[in-house]
Amino acid sequence: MSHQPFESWLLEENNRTPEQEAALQAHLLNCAECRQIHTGWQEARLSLKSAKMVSPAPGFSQRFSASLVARRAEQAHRRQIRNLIIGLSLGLIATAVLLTAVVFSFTSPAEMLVNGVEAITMGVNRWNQVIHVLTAALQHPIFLVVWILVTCGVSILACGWLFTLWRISVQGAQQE
Amino acid sequence: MNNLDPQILQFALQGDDAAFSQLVETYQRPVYNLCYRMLGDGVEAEDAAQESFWRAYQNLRRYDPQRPFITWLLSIAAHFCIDLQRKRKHVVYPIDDYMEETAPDPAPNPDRVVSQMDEDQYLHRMIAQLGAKDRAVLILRYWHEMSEIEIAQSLDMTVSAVKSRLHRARLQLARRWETAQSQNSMLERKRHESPAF
Repeated sequence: MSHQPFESWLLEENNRTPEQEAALQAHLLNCAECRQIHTGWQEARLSLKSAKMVSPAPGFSQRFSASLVARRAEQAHRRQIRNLIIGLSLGLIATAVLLTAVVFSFTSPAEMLVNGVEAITMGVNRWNQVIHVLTAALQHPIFLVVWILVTCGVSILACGWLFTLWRISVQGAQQE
Repeated sequence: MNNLDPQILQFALQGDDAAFSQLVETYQRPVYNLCYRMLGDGVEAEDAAQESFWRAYQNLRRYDPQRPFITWLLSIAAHFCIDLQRKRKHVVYPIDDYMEETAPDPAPNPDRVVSQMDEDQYLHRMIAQLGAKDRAVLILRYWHEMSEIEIAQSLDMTVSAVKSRLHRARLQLARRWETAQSQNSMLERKRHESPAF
């Protein structure tokens, strides 16, 4: 069964025309669902209309004034920090720009490029030398016993270190 | 309900803190009521109302004097409460929460007061089952007596959206009310009928 437009008529607050009212009453006689909505809404509406406004606990505006002072202080503090960060950032940027300008005024870009390539090449050469020295040292025969002793020693030290860390962390938690 | 001297509003808009405190004093009840009806908890409502006034204070420059101040204020509070509702998924309504009705009662009959409180809590629980926006629309309509156009302005909705939400809220409320009443009367009947031997 169609409940429209009766459902809308029931829930709207506009005054119904006599024809609408007659049609609605006829529909309500035959439709249990709309009858339930009608009864439910009448009661709910009555309750809504009679419900009062709730007031806050006394002193609401005083609490607001107090919080206003605190919030403004916090806001001012935040603004100060923000200004400080902005100032520091601007200072850093200005210094970087100044340094770059100074460097560029004494050295030409071509010279800087050559120096940079030289530095990279030197770094690669040094790395190769380190690798060469390490490989040469490891080629000498090392006794198995020495290896075992070194490994055991390092393991014991690592265990001791981990145990100390664990103990300190547990004791710290217990003290709290 | 909230008669405010326009000069106070003017002073508040010019940055006068004392005038803004006067605004808080004048509008604390409707703002708190909206928050309370939306959130269902006194402590949360207090925080939300305080936060709403703080937001209003911070955004006073954005206030359009062509609109009633209370509509703008309630709009801030409603949006804040709707956001809160979105953030928390489950609403807890303390049954023992005491409803502090400070409006003067012409006939202080204890039975009548208790029954009114029960009815109010019952209504409160029914409304709590509605969606946040539907609830806001219903509260603004019935407690704050706003027109559909004012509600639409306050909640940034179209008037047809407000009508649709109002219809849905009323329908849900009517159905739940009727179901709850039927269950209550069934329980009552069971309690009073004689035991079967």
